[in-house]
Amino acid sequence: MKGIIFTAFLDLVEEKFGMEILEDVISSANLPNEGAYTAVGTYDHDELITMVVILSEKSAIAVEDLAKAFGQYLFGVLSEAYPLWLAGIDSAFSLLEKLDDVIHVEVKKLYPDAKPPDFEYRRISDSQLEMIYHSPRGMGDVAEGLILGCADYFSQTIDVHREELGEKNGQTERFLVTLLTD
Amino acid sequence: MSELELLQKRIERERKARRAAEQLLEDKSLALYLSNKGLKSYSDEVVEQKEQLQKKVEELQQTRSQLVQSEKMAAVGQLAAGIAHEINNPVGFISSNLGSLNEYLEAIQQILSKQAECIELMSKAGSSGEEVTRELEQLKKQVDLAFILSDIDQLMADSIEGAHRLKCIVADLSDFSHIDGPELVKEDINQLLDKTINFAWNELKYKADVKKEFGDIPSVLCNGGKLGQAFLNLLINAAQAIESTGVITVRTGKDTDSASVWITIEDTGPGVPEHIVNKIFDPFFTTKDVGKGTGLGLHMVQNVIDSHGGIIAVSSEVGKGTVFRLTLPICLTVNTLKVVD
Repeated sequence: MKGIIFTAFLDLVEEKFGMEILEDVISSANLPNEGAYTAVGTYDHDELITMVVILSEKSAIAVEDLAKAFGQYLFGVLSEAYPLWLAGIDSAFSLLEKLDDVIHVEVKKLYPDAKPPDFEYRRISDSQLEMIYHSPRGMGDVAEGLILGCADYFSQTIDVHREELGEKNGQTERFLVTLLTD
Repeated sequence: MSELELLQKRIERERKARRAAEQLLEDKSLALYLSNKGLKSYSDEVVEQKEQLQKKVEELQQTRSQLVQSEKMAAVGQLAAGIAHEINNPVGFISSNLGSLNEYLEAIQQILSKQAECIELMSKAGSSGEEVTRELEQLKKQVDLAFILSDIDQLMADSIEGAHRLKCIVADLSDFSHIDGPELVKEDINQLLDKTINFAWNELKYKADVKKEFGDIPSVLCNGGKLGQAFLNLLINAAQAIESTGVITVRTGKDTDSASVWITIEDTGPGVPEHIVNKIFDPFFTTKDVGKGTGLGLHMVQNVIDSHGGIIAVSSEVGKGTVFRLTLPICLTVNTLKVVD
């Protein structure tokens, strides 16, 4: 998993929970690099899961809620780091629809070892988009947060209804995104 | 943990992260250097391959020109036997006529000499010249002067006609040999077809009745030599397509807007199967046996028609025959005429 996701997580923890909780999470997680992440590196996604779980224990906030909030925060970080990928896009749906065919394709060109999730799309109506998420990492909560962060970025309000598909192990999920305000 | 300790830890972590980032940068730089180096040698290789390809293309172009030339020569060679026959025939009877005329001339000279003798004797006093006059009349009968005089007319007329035919054959030949150069002349397409049919007559006459249904069409600005060569190829193809005997129908006409004329050459041969009809204009495509055709004939025809801004189309029905339809614009600017091999 790309380092920018880890550095964004550490920034979020420091920003929202303070330096002490951050150090606590890092030392409790027994990370191989002791939390010295760099945005351009690549790390095992299990390290992130470990940190989220520990943060959940320490903050008494559910893992799902933490992951979702992190996803929402992460979108802001990514939009600042890669403004080019947002050029010419003026709504959440147009960005979400370009995710798989354009943005993830570019990500893979830039980082050949990156493994972004795959999406299938079906535009149900002007205000409804169905996205099927596939990823062996099972990070649907972060994905939901990212979708919400995307709507925030375009100042739109959306509702995301989730449904697990297949073996219900979190690796395949249906996201029904409804645009509430334009 | 005090705030200072927390800050120290954070600085330490940031430092480690920086080192990791620097190492990554170092690794990436090295990878980039190596990949650039690889690209450089790859690019050199590509340049070399490009040069080699360029050479091959030039060689191929040369070979193609040679093949096109050999296709032209093959068509000419095919006609050579027929032309030899065409020339041989009038040459034969002109030569035989000259032999007869030579004998007639000798006979006439004898008569003239006897006549001179007769006149000389008659001019002398006291001589009636009866004897010589009788001898003269006898000589006239002997050589059959009446026949000689009437036959001379026939022999002369035949020889003049034969010489005219030779002149026409030579003119046609020279028309077909001057096909190079983008010379644009207003040509009467009907006349050009007539000439071509005459030129190929020996190839055509044993295989097909040639029917001409020429329309009243305006002259076309074109390279007559090249167009003639294209018509020749199509006519010979049509004759070769016919297995025993058949009909070749050549029609001409003009489009309703009078901007172009069309020519169709139709044969009653076996037709072209549907699966190959689209390939017949492809270079080197031939249904003839190895060594019998280069597969460039129709390709060359298409090039000639293309270079005149025209269109060539083929329609064929197995068992019924094939029709080639050529459409040529009447007005053609010099720029439209591309260089054709």
